[in-house]
Amino acid sequence: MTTDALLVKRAQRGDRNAVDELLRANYDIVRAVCHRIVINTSDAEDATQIALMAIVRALPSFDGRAKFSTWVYRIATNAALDELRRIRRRDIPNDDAKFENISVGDATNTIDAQMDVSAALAQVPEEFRVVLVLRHIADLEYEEIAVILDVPVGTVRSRLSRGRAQLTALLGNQDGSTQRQNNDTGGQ
Amino acid sequence: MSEDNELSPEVEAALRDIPAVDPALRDQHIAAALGELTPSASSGRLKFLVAAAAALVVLVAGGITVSRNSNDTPPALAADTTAVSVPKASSDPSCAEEFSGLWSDSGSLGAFTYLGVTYEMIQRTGVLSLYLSKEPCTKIGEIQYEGAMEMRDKADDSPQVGAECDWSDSPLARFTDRANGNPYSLVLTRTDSGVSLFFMNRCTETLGSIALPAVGD
Repeated sequence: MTTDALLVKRAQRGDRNAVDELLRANYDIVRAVCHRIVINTSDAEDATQIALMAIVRALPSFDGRAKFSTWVYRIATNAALDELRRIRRRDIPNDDAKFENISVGDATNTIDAQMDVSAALAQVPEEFRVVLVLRHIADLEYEEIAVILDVPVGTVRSRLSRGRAQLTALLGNQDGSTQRQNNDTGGQ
Repeated sequence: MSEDNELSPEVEAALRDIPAVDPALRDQHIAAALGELTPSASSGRLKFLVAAAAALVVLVAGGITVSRNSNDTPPALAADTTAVSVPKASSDPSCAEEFSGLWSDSGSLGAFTYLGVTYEMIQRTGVLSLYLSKEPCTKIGEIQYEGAMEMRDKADDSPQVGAECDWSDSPLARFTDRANGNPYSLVLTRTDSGVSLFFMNRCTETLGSIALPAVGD
């Protein structure tokens, strides 16, 4: 049994230290998934919190059939999508998030690039954005993404292709550092 | 998996480049998540024993009769007296911690005996688990039904909508769980090979089943 599997087993038996360790080990990726799907910073932090709580609640039900990380991504993705639904019900336009990010994105080139990617990602439709995040941030295989989203692998492939195309086009249309970045990298 | 239209490494790196988290916020998030556990094993055990004792008192007093299709049944209702065998609280206190874990919302629905083996029914939000009632307190299986409740909830399928069902044939437990605040009454019944879970007013749709091992398995 691997160290991770042992840790999960301990956590499932209620070992508080093991649960703490598991949460810390997976914190950054849960937060990254939530941030890139939800976009708005404060809402993404809420989604992160909800995802972590959901992980703890669901730990006894983890049966080991999937990789633990895949199981975590599924919970994080669902938490982020639920947060987006809550945002829509609140009727707060996502544009707020874009403007919030863009307006503070001029301190350094690194921050510029980060913020421009955030702004561009915010304009990619949700169904494409989620697949982009799971593939390029969570490093999941198409089959794993298909299971998480409960869609055929072919749908994952087409959403990913369209998502990449839209993100690339959006980055190519931006001014400033991202334009420079794209020129430097061939402007994919 | 390599695809012909991957993002450039720079864009991919930018995607992964999330603003650093404030360590205090991270600790706050993790502390709140750990709050889903009960404060300590001893309190988990105490909570379980109190629940078990309460169930026992109720059973000694003659059992509970739950009105059919009741919509305000309290959560984690003890099993009724028409069960196959006399329901009882955990027969082995050493299993209490295993059953309740450290999760704050778990509790016992009682126990039943099948082919001479006593099983404990443990319920927490959206999940019903079956354990051996004595050490090694092994989990036999579980039924996850939170998704079914949420599907009804999202479909605006009122918890009250359903057919009249006759549960007079030895239900093992009746209890209520909630999805987004809406109460759903559920029934666990015996089958030829194990147990099955239903919405109380949807006796034709099985939410899940657990097979019980035959003696000697």
